[in-house]
Amino acid sequence: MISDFLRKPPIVLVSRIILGALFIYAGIDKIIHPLAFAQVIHHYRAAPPGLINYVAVAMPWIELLSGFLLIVGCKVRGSNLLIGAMLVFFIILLSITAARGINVSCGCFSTSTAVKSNLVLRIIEDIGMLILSLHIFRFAKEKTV
Amino acid sequence: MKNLKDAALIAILAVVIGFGINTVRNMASLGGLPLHTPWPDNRKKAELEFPPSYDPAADTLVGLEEAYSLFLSGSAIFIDAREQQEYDEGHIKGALNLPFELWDDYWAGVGPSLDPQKEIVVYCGGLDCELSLFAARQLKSLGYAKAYTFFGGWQKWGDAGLPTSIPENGDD
Repeated sequence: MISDFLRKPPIVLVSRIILGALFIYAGIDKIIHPLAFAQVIHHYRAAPPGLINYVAVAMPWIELLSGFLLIVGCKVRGSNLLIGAMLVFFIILLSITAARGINVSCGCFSTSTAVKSNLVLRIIEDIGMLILSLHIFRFAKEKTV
Repeated sequence: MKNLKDAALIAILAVVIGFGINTVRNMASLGGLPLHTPWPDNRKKAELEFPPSYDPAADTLVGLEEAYSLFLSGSAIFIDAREQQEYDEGHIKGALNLPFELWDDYWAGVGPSLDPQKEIVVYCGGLDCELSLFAARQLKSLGYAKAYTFFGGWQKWGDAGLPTSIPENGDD
């Protein structure tokens, strides 16, 4: 029943559009403000100093491109896999950061450091997005344009 | 397997585009990120001993013991520089809320309770929160010479089990 509903191509398309749009939105602010994003990464106290700027330059483009491809329907399964892997990484990173008691602004959707994030809420958001990704992984076909 | 290959290709393409555009932005002064900025290695430090912007000439820091003895003296006023939501969830007993980022909105309510002759202990979340430092500087510039920063903040105070006001016990 429910899986009949979930496998409908328009429903899969809705998941692709929501998830893709979130990743595009998340990527754009970081691309505009690379230094601010590098500071956010530094505040996590997890990255080797020499790698911080490379991550700050590369990651937003991976988010943007995979989100874009997910929406337009080109390499849907590949871009979805990439997004799912990023989400798993974010969930692990946020959990470790919360457990270390580090007061950080998550930098998920904004590079502003003025407001510290509620990390638990951010983890729940990421889990929600991971569910969308799993939905796409289960039901999306390669030629679904 | 094909999906994995696609994912890797997309990632590589994005990285190439990203570094390409960043190089152009760097050359054209369009807000690119130079790749060699030196970041201090902060991975091992569980918490900072001093606020990153600490200036020994301008700021007066107090530790937990000093803050607590000021608390016991009864004459010092404690100021919580965090936003109101955090203050409402729990704060040092008797502390007044003066969110540094909304200073102008809160100052009219807090200012009259302060005495320029007496000690003021400003704190925020602890760890790497610097709102307390900035608020203490602001107080000093307004003539409150004994405005101190308790950098350990809510975190250290709570960990030490010192008196707090938390909505459940309701007492302030």
